[in-house]
Amino acid sequence: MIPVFTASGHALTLSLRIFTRTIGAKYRKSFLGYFWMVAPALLITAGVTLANKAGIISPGNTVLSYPLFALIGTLLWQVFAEAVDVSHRAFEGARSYITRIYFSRVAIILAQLYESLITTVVRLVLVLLVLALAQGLDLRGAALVSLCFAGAVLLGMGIGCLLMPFTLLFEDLHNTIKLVLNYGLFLTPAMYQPQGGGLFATLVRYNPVSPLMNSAREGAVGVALSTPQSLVMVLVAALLATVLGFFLVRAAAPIIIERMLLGGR
Amino acid sequence: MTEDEICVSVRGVSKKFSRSLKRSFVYGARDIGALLLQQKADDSLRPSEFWAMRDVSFELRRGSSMGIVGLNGSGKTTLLRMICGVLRPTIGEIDVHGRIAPMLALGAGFKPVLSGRENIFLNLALLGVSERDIRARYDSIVDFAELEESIHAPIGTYSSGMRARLGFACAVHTDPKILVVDEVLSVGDAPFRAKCRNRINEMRRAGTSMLLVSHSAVTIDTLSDQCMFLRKGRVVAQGAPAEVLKMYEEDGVAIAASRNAANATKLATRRLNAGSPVGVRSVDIRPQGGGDDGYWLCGRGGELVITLACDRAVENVSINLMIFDLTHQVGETVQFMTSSRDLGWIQLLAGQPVIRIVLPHVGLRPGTYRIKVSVSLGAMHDILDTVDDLRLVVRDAGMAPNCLYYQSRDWSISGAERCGEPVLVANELDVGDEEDF
Repeated sequence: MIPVFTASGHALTLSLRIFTRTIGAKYRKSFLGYFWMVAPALLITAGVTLANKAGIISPGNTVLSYPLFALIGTLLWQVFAEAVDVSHRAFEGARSYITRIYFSRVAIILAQLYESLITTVVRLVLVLLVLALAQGLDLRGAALVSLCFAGAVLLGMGIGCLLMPFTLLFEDLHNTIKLVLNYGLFLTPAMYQPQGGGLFATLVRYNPVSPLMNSAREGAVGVALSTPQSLVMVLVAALLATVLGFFLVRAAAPIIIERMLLGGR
Repeated sequence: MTEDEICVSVRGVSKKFSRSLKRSFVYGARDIGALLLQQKADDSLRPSEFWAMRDVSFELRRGSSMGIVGLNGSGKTTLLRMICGVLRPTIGEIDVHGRIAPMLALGAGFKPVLSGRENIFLNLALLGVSERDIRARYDSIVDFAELEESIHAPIGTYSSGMRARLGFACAVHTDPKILVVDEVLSVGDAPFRAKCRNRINEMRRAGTSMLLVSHSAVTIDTLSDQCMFLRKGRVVAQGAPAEVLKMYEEDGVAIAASRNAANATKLATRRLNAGSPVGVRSVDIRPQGGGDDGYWLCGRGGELVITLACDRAVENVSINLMIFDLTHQVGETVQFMTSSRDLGWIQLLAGQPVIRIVLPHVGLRPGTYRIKVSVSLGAMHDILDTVDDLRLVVRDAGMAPNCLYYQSRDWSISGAERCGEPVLVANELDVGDEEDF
């Protein structure tokens, strides 16, 4: 067990060093760095709000005003979707040297995660600011919204790490995941609450991101959580998936890297 | 030998790869599945798999140096990658004691947007050097790379030479116990290569061990205490460099000779192209002054004798010779000689004309080459006959160490006099007399 902790400590130190050295490079080519972190969600929110006002979208029982409802939903989905891709992006980005020198493989995933966390914090701050200005926000509300955003990162990371060894081997699988993440937003309660029964409503209800979205909104309004058990289950599952995912990445890394070296994915 | 004296121990290592890319991905997914189910990995060969390395064992002592030779595809780089920890052996174990400086990955992780300074910190962090040590060595790295003026500029603006200098400077400042060198001295310009070479020597004198892969027998002979010869992933010989290198070169010549002998039989018995009045009957490659077929000596005389079969007299003929590199820049055309340019047109007479090409000093560096001979007609070079896939081995005579080619030269001395015999950095090759040195 001690070598695992030593290795984890080493990975943590190295990841922080990689992160601090490379974070500047990410936005050096962009003049509107922070804007791109929130622009897609703002555009979607504006679009669906207009559609809602025109009567095209019937969102069902939203606990707070529709623009805020949609903003929290879309931002949370974006956070989740980006977290799923973190480990894949980390390995792909390091392709040129991961196949040539040995270092802690988990470190590059963690470094990529820190980048993703910065984006998450910017999005979270935007949501908290908008909520505070629009309707007021107490400490419990802010904590719950933050917890749900953290849960989305953890859930995305866990799923991403468990899938990454296979998405790196099979481009088709990676394309499928990208497709699901691009359009999966419509299978969540991001822009509407499911009404009645049927397959669609069931899919939306049992989507693992749904408890996070609903709890964040309920927390923002200050009402009691409607599905606290689901939230706890999702958070525990996310934590478990992340831990297992990291172990899988560590164990599978030599097999994946060997294939990356062969010139494929 | 105590365990403390050994810095690299390779025991019974085998490594398999798949020839089919798609299958290798499927096998990869299966192997990960087996890993998850805690099943033992499949050591047997599955369809399309082959052993790239088979049962290799050796030990590298502290402060010593091992050279690894073998033709392309013999498993040298695979072995180095396993020792560096990038690849895991399918069977066997590798123990490494001490930090490795992998010279097969100069400038690993360099990001073009970041400055030279930022890249030094990033690269050395990946190579396992602490932040405090990087700060302490920073000035020395910049000084070695000679990049004082541009160290704060993005590395994307650097020339390839500047990047190579920075990569090498970083690698040698990791305070390694083991240097892993894969033809590293062929990067950068000549003064930089000399600087690298001197630095490596300095580190070797300070007790750093070294694993060295090189196609140059002289480099291996000069820099190694022991040598290993790999063929198709197996160890053919291991021991004193001079003996192993001799075996390696004889092996290369033997392979080339047997291939050429098979070609010679085919050439002698084949039916010539219908409608073509000229055909090639034999091609002999040999060092000038005789010797076994199939090789030339770098820097010495060599000749190539082409015997043709000619039905009738043919005018405006050109004999063309192309030489392709199979060792350094695989597939690259390194020589193209044509008699029409060198001699003018040839008129062939009926019978068996013999064309002899004499090279007073073979300029090709040591290695294996493919030769293609063609006979063409007229200014448009209509092809009358072609013979491809002849093998040529250029053996090392110690006259062009660390050179891209042998430059023929004459020395003259005035106001001074010679006081000794030429010192060849040679292994114990049978290179004949040295009158033309």
